Amino acid sequence: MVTTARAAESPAEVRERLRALIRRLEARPAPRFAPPADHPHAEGPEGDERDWAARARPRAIEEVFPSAVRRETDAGACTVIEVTYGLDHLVGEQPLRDIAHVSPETYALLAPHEGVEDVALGELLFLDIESTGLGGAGAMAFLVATGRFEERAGIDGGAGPAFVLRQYLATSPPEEGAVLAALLEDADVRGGEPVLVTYNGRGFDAPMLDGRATMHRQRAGFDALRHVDLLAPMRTGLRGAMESCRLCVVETDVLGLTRPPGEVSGADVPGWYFRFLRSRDARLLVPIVEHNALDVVSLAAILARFGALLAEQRAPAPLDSVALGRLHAARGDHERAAAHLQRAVAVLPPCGARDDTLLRLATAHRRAGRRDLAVPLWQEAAARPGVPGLRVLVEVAKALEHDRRDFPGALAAVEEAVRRAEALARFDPRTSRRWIEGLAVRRARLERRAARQAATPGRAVGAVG
Amino acid sequence: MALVDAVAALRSDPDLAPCFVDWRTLLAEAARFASWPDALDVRIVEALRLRGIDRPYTHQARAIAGALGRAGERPRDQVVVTPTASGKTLCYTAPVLQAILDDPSARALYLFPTKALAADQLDELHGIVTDAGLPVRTFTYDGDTSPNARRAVRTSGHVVITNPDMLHTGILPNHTKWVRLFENLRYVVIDELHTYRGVFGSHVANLLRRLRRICRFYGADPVFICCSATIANPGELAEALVGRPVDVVDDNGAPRGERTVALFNPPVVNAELGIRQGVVNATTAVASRLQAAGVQSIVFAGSRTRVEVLTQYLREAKGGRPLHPGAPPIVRGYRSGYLPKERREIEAALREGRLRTVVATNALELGIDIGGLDASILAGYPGTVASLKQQMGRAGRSSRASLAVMVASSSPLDQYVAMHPDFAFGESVEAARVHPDNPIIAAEHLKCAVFELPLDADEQQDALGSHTPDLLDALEEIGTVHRAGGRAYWSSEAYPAEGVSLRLGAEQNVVIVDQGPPAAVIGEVDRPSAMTLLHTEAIYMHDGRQYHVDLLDWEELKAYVRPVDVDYYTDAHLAVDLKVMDEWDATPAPAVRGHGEVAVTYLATIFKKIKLHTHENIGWGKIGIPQDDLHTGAFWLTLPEMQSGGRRGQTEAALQGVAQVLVNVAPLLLMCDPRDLHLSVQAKSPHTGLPTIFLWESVPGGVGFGEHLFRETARLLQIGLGLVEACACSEGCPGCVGPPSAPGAGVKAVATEALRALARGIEAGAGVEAAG
Repeated sequence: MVTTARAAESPAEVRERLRALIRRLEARPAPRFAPPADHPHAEGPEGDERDWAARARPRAIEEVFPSAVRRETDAGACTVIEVTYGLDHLVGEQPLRDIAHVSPETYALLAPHEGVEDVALGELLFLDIESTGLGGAGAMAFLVATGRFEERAGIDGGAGPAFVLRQYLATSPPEEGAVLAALLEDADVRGGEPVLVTYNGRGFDAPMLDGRATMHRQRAGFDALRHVDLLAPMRTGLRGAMESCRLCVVETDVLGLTRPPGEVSGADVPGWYFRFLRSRDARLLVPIVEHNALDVVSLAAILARFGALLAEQRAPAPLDSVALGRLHAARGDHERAAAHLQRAVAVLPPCGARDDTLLRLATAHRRAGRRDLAVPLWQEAAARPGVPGLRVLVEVAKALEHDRRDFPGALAAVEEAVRRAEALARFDPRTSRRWIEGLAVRRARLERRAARQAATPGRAVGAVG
Repeated sequence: MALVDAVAALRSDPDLAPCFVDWRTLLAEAARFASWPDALDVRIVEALRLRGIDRPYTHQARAIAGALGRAGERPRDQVVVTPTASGKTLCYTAPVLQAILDDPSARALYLFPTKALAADQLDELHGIVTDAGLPVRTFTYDGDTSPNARRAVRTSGHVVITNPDMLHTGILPNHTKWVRLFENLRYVVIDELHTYRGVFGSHVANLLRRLRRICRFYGADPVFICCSATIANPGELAEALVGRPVDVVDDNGAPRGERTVALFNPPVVNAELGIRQGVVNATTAVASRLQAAGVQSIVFAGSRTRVEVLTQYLREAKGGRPLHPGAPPIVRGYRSGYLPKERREIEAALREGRLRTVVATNALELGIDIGGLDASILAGYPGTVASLKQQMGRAGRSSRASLAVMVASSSPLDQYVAMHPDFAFGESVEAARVHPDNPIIAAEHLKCAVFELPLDADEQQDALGSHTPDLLDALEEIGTVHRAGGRAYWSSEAYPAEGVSLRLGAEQNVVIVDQGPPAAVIGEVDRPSAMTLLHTEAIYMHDGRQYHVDLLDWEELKAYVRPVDVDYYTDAHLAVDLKVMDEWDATPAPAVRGHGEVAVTYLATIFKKIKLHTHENIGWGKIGIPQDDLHTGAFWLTLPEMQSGGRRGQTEAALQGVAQVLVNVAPLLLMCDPRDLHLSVQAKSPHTGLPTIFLWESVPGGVGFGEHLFRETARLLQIGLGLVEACACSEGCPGCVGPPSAPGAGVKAVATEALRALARGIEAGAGVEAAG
């Protein structure tokens, strides 16, 4: 290759030119580094990098995390922070003690098809990682937390299980290899085959750790472990009933946790870590380490809560009943589903979650062979004014059309819905028009089917009830 | 034989014969065979025999033997350069299958420039493997691969067929998911190597640097097998892309039937103005004669609109109607914008002889298997000799005789070719250039490389070219790279590959919806083209059918059309305007020049309705689409106002002439593809206040060509002068200052004088700087 001669240019000039070029390229995406001004860890009012450095001397890891120790491995050294939580520890309103109630039934409900019903408490490996990105070989796992129930001597001298949290921290990128090596040694992934308990670990944590091990020429095998991924049951049980299914929402809505002020959000974690790398000020790590610890302890608390609920050792909150009902329904146990949903409907305030639960209860009844119990629920739901009532009418029409082939009945429901959508026009013309258009298609189809059914009387269906 | 008769008829046709300005016959060449390399497994030999291949051609045998390697020797990287339809695929299929039979864990990666070619290759390889019952799994991996299938491709595919874009954003950044592939990678196949030139090629060269790094990490050292159409410098291009010397195999042993080559310059229809018959009508005249004689032809039309117009004309012409009413059409269009399924159907119909004529854009120029056709007709010069040869090579297969005709348009370049047949039919072809060390391109790929794997101390010197150390320092300063323990780590949450597109242009497409009923999506067109093809009230042609565009929803990127039957088509005018946004550097008088960022705006202004066949203008309308902008890098150069003695027309002529020379030679200096650079001329630029020539880049943001030209202006002018002075023409031609607008205009003289003056001015400017 011929490269262009830039004879007149000195090395310093080349350098400056390339710098300017990089600055131009990098000016495009907006950086997202500064911590919020009111954060307890942000000492400068605006959090500008230089102010920060000028105002406060960087603090070393051991100053900020007194329990941190250096851990030597074949792949170098990393930092490990170990904390033991007694079983009286509360996550929100949920004590860890309830972990004792976890039974095969708990696993059958939360992680069917994993073959973990027989697992012993000590085999569970709660795990959560903090990474510098969501994917790809350039995103590293710089902090890995594990939690295990281990036998510990209590303060009163007796021995009993306690929740031991270990956090493996890479204080610089090369230490990630040691983080993995230490983790693999302690967790005994290859020999003892623990059962992972994570939140979205199937999709993220386990494959990520295996990928990172490859980057460091190690073999891990997290992806092959048996796995209780709590994201799946939370989605099945509570999607739509909460703002989202992110772990922090479960922590507040299900466990009743109050988030600490100034807590770092997951999206800001990489930025804080990169700032730490440049400034070496360990205070920047505090919110990340706390966040990571809380997430792992919360996993234990969620498992404990469902154990206690299924063992009927804890009175369910409305959301618990919703989740239990939906999880049972997903397994095909419609009678138990109906019982839980019934309880939820009885206590939930009139809101979107209640309407949805009411319909699910109706469905559970119907699937359990109790259509007689379903119909009044539909009628109740349909009585609700505005859009919720419209939705229910459509559900009623669907059920009548598809389950019972009662086309005239379905048509009547749709026509009622059209009337109501038209009435809505005075308050919200756009929504009204959208509903009327949507209902027109359904009505046309039902009219066709009703006419055809009328022409072949042999296939008519009896009245509802 | 139909073709011989048809050629004779063309040569004696009283209307057409006088317009053929050149006929030549390229003699048939007999096949030269060799024997299979000893190392080749009998199962492969047998599988190939089943497909009718008893012996390899000489070039195939050499390439296969080289890629397999002699006992005890490392196999060698190959680039196979032979014409269309000479059995290039076999050159890599055989060694790859051999490696997999020897070791079932062996893997191969195929890179094709487009998804369509990848799909085609998958079918072919699948055919061989299935016929022979070989235990070889082949998959394509691209944007169409379903998430569920991806896992299987990653772990169990022996041959993974993909494209550079997918390697760039999907595979390399996630290499830890591809451990099985990389640990066992024996061969990397790069087909259509000649397409990797210019900016795209420079990106691919860096992509391959990254690929080789990842291979080294997993302890693999794959052999590269490249295939290229005929270009002047295949070995140099392959070496620049692969990063090490490559054996060139260009001894073509494939037979070639006799090929008749002709140049058709349409008749002059207005002698006073020197206007010739339009290329569409002329092409229709030639192609319809062949069609009527039962000759299977491919017609290459320059643009998508032309594809549709020609498809319609040829359907109406003699021999263009199916034998039975209601039978499938025997004339079809083929271009991007057709859905993949439709394209596969057309390709199959061509191979099976169910189509008589296909009208295509250069989408069919690359190696998609459509079998051998009898004739290839080019509606206009495709822009490069390499493309011309590819398109002509689409006719003829093995020993059958074939015909290739280029129909010249009235553009100066086409007319130049028509006057100089040796230019087109001679031995010379263009060289393909890449510039992997371009700092902007290298910087983008350096980020990707650090993301993929931390750079160790050695790699920090030159992993992505000579600028690597400086670029790394700059990235560290900004914080996207963090150095620790002697290595450079990625320290940003960004996924750098996503921010870097290997190709030009926006990826947004406009979806074309036939409102029905039933409503159906009939195709997609890229955004810039949609401005002129799919504006409201346009007649959009798709597969020879006319659609009226009722509404172009520019926000939603949807065009709502309905089928119509009208006797006109629409032709839209695109106005291109250029403004200097930011001047990065400039020199003062006497030689004012500069570089910086420019905003180029495209605005579709009006459209005309043009009557079919007579081409009368029967109406017009305004196009209400907001303009589209491109911000990119540019270099500009001004001409001093002519001395008081000079006439205004002379300044204009000099400006046009110099501009033409510079845009011709700039790619030589930049080693880029001519398509990467555009020309705008402003008689009095608002920015400089002087007659100004702008050379601007196709890539959004630019890759630094403007700055390069600014620094090397003296050399640019020197090369330009050399070209003009060496050119044999007397009054200017497309090869130098452009053809004269009228005889005696003296373009060449004034442009040469202006070039000399500019060169002197730059020298003087340099003197002033040195003195100050």
